Amino acid sequence: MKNYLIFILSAAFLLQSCSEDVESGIEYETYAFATLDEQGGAWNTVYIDETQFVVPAPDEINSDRYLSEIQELQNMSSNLTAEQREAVAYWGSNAVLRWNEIARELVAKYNLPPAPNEDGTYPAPSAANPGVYPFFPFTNPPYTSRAYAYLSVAQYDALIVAWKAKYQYNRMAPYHTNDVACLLPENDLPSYPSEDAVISAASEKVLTAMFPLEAEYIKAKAEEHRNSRLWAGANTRSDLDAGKVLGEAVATSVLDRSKSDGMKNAGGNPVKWDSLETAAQTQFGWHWESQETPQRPGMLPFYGNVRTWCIPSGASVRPGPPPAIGSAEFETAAAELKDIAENLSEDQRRIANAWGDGVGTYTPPGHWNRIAGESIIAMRCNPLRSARVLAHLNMAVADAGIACWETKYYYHYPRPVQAIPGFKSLLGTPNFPSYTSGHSTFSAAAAAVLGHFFPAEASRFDAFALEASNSRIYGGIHYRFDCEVGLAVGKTIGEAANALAAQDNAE
Amino acid sequence: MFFAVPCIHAQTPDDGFWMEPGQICIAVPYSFDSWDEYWEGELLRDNQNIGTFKRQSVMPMFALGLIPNLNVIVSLPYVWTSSTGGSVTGQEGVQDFSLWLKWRPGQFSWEKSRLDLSVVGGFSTPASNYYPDYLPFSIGLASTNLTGQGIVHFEMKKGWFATLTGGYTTRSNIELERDHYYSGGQAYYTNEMDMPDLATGRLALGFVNARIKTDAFVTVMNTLGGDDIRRQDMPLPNNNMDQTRVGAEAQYYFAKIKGLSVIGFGSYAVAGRNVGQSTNFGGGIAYQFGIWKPRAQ
Repeated sequence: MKNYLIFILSAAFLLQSCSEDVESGIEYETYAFATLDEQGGAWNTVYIDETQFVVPAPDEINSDRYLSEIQELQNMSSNLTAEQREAVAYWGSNAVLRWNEIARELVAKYNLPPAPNEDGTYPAPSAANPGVYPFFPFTNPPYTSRAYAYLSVAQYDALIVAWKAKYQYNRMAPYHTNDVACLLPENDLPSYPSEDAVISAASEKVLTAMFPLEAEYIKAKAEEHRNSRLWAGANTRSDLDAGKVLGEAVATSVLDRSKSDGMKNAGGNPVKWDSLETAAQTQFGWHWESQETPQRPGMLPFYGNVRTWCIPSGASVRPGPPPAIGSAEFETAAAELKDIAENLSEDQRRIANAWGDGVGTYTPPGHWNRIAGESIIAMRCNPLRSARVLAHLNMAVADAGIACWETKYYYHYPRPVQAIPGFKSLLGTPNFPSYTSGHSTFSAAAAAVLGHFFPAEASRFDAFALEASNSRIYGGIHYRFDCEVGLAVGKTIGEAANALAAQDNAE
Repeated sequence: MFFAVPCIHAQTPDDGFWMEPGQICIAVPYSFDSWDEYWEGELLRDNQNIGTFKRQSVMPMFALGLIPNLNVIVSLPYVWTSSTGGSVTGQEGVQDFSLWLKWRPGQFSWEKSRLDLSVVGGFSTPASNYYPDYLPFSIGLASTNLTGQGIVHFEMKKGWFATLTGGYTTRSNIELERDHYYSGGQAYYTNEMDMPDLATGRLALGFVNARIKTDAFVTVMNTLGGDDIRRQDMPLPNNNMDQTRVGAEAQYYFAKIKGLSVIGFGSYAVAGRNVGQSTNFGGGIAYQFGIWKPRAQ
């Protein structure tokens, strides 16, 4: 009996040690920047007219005002609490990454489709009444890709102006001008205006517009972010104030674009939905139908008309039609899906799950931002260079969403569970037409852009894109032709973003 | 429910009944669970994309009297799930292997009754690589579990009995095939998911004699932590799943064939959270026989 007890107790101990708490969020050590990009102020902005944004000259470093700011830092650094030190470590030296992560967290939080009403209709989130269920926004992949584009473009354009002012005024960091201890890696980047304040203010502005119910949470994050720079001894208060004014002003200008980019009309109305369906039925002899019960209106049927960043329009890259239902090519694709469903390998299941990125997650655009962040850290990019990567990534991904949605509702092609009798899918079938695959289009666009910025990893990104694309076939929710054509269109869009990058004076 | 606790009967880890040394009981119960509504957090709702959810299992189970007052019980269910609504495929496969040691250190007898105090240690672990993150279709939650429980069993000579069981289960982390999920208001960047512990309880009141054993029971499962399913969200394996069931079960021993019995059972979830409001019933046969003769005392 004693032996049994010893066995049970030791097994309990082993189990306890493998059931330790799982940490949320991303851990990374802050780092010194590989380069400072002293010429960054001469890079071309994406959207704003940079001449409209003038950063006023700072106080001299021997002025009373500046010296009193130094005194403030010295007082703070001798009285730091554990929480303040944690905040310094959390924000690190490249807060572009943290704001990108905060955006992913908010996307996952709001990625919930509306529940049906009692009468079988569906409510829609309202930007005018964000706090009334269903809460605004529903962060589906199109909404998410668009939000990311505005976030990254605002950060990038604001940082270009900031870099210009930094090297115009050359006011060095307080740990260079005075006896101030710095808790972060020191560098020779002029600290006025603070790049962190620029990033925090621009991010706060954009994310608050995209997630109005999170205004307080975002504000608290932004304030902690700026304060962390004081606690770290990395910026003086006037560095931060100037950066905050600049970040807000640039973000306000970038957000002007969002007010008239066509998003407001992306949902459409029942009459317009019918017209899309009828057009496809008349022209092609098929149309997509929601497979949900009660039938849910398709996700953002007119998102394809939203204004693009890198390509002329969503329709400009529309591929040719998919094979007719019942054609030999269709039957081959359908047979493949049935075969996979019956003989799913462990590897296929793993891939389907790894790239699922469905309800309650950060979506494929969030997934690719995460991948980008890992490469940014590995290459020790400074915030300006990070923002440049993310701006081009997210413009391409946003355009991928627009172009893909345009194609989806133009062809209005049925999903496998609709067109293949008796077929059931491993993953939940998304509520919009099949052709082309969103995952494939997003992923190929993202892989092309990341491969441009991190060429040593290009083949890895391409392999990810192919895997993400295949994951939809393994999940039983896309035909192979949806995925292959989606990959090709995505690549075209990524290359368009790279062509913009090639002309912005940074290369 | 999303993850049905195996229905328990016939010399189980939860009851107050015993196999004599050398006796083995082989039971093969079939169990059918279904629900039309589930608790999304505390909201009881239907979901026409699931329609009626069904979960069936066959659970071969062996109980063996090892030495006096020590039984060992093993089981290995095969489970399959499906739904009448929606277009998502069901799952099926071998679920968790479990092994229980049931030890009776305390027996108190009186003229007309007796009281047994027992302790049970249980271990269970997935016996296949089924995926726990396809809820409600997953056939299990894929954690490795250790359970400790105590049983107080009071029985009258006339056959009336009451059994009170209280248990605690600690569960290992599970590994998902994705390295991002949102739970408890936070984003996780890992494929590891922490599974909160479980507290369980059961009260049975019944009657037993040489031919029949029957009781009515209430079972309670309380997940000690975890998040609610958010409105219209997908469930997660670490959700705060609670439920209270009431039910009844009976076992009848045939007179003509020694050791052969039939079992039947049914129960209903009267309260719950993040689980289906399921009705369960099932039955099977059990056969008990001696494989060695215990040494005479």
